[in-house]
Amino acid sequence: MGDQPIRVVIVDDEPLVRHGLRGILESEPGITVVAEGEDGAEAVGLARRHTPDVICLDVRMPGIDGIRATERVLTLDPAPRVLVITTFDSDSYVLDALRAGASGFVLKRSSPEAIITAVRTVAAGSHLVFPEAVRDLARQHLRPVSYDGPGLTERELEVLGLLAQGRSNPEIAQSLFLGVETVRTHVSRLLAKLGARDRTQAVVIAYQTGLVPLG
Amino acid sequence: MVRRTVFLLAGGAVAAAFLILASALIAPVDPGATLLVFVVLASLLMGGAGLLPGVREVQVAGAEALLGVPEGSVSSPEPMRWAHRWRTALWTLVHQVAGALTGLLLVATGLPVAALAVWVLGGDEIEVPGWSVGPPRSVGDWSLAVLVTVAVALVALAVITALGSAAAASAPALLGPLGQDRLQVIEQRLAREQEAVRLSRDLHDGVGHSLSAISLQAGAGRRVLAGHPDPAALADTLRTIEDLAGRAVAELDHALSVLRGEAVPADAVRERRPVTGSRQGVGGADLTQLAHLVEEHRSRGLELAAELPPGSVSEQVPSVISRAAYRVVAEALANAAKHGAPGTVRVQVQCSPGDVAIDVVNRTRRAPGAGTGGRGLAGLREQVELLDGEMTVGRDEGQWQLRVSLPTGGRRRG
Repeated sequence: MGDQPIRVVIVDDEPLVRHGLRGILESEPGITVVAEGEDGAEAVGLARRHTPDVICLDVRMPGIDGIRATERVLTLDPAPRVLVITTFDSDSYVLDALRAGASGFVLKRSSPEAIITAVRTVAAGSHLVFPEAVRDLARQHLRPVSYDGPGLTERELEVLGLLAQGRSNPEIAQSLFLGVETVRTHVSRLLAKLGARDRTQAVVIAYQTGLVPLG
Repeated sequence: MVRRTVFLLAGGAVAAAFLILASALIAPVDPGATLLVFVVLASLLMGGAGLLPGVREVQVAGAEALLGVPEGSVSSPEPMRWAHRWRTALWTLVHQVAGALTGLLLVATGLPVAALAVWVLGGDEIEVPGWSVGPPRSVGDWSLAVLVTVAVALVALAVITALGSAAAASAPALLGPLGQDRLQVIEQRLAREQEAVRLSRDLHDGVGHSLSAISLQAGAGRRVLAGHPDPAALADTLRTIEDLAGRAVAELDHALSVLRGEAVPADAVRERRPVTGSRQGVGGADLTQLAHLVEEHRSRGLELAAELPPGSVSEQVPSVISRAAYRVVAEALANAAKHGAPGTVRVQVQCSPGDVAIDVVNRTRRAPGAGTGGRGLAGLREQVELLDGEMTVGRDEGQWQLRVSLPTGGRRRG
């Protein structure tokens, strides 16, 4: 992203939520809210028109909900990263949205700093947002499926396990005594093998297939 | 056996009363009336008794306590339909006939026993009108007399037992719930389950969202304070938080009152009033805050024509009703803001000594019956009905109208 501000679109059917979210994000230097929308149908148009870096999508909305909106927004080129915003962390919709390719989620009741961090993290694409929460969600709502994709090497499995803990590339490099470049290669090969568009989706798949135990 | 006999005899006693009544009615009119006329009249009286209010309940209680029918196999439906009434009448008639028969059998058992007793104690001829029987003279005669007495008693016992069993077996057919009743029970259960689901969704959508929005607004306020404090913007934020908190409390209040299954939340009964000067009373906003609600919607761009009661009048409304009325208006305006088409929303609230009348009309862009607005409305309707009020929702020609009337019980507190 460099010095360019992170450009954000907010989509939520509740005006007071949009207003609060905008207030929080605008208070942060380096983040600009470029547009607001009130439902999933609007989300796609706004993403196309404004090409934001991040789109904050409410998961439950009348009409087109956050999951379908996530799918549609991600077909755009360039596609923004999707940050799902939700009222409850036990919401099964959130996991569906993550499987649909959302990069992370944030609770509406989180502190402003946590929300800002989530937006920055999703924009940078280098971390998993709320690794514990993703695991809890997976434990509650995921139906296990068997993995039938290309085989993973020992090293790739190790990297995947650390990804699931929410580690960044440099952190993984440090704990495996590897170069950051090597880790980056492993991660992109992992994403390709799992058919995941980003780390979050890779971790959801890893939990669902048991490649990483939910324990 | 004893209980069933008691049940039958109760019918017999009633039957005796009606037989006397029937003969008393028929004698002066037609002294030479045939037996058939008498039987028809008596049957009409005996069956007709089953149509009297309360008889069904008595019969059901009797069948459960004395006949020992399985629980739930007989019932007093609410409301009673004709299908229930004529079955009750038929049951009452059969009960009395069987009861009369039981009574006669007991008398028939008693007579030979009494005769034997008289003879044993040394009595002589027993005279019944038109008939007389002398005491047994030989051992053979004595044996015969005892045998007849025992035989009569056994036959009576067998018949009464059979009558009791037949009554117990047929009670569910005549006093039991009909197919429609069972359907009603199932529908009620289903409605209760749906209610629970709706309630949890209401809590999620209502309280959950309000609290989330509060959290966001408070966070935003704090950030603004740390950066470039703008008193006007901060005041706005605080006002929003205040309203959201009130909304959340009102929603919680509603949910809890539904959960308790009782109409009115306990704190409301205590009739707490907001402290003078505070805009928000315990348990949510009330009618005195309507003007503010209207202003708030205007400031968000809703075009509103409001006719509200003066503060001195709305302060007189009991707080339970007052808060419910506020929620009705709040929900209607929220609906208008969310689903309404551009145009003026008309709000009229009138407080008369007997009730609070609310009338909200707005233009709508939704097709009749469409959409999700119904959930809030269903909650509203439930609340209105709990307070014995009436609510009608109408949609036609692009207009949406909500009319609610909440009775205040004519009581005005000074």
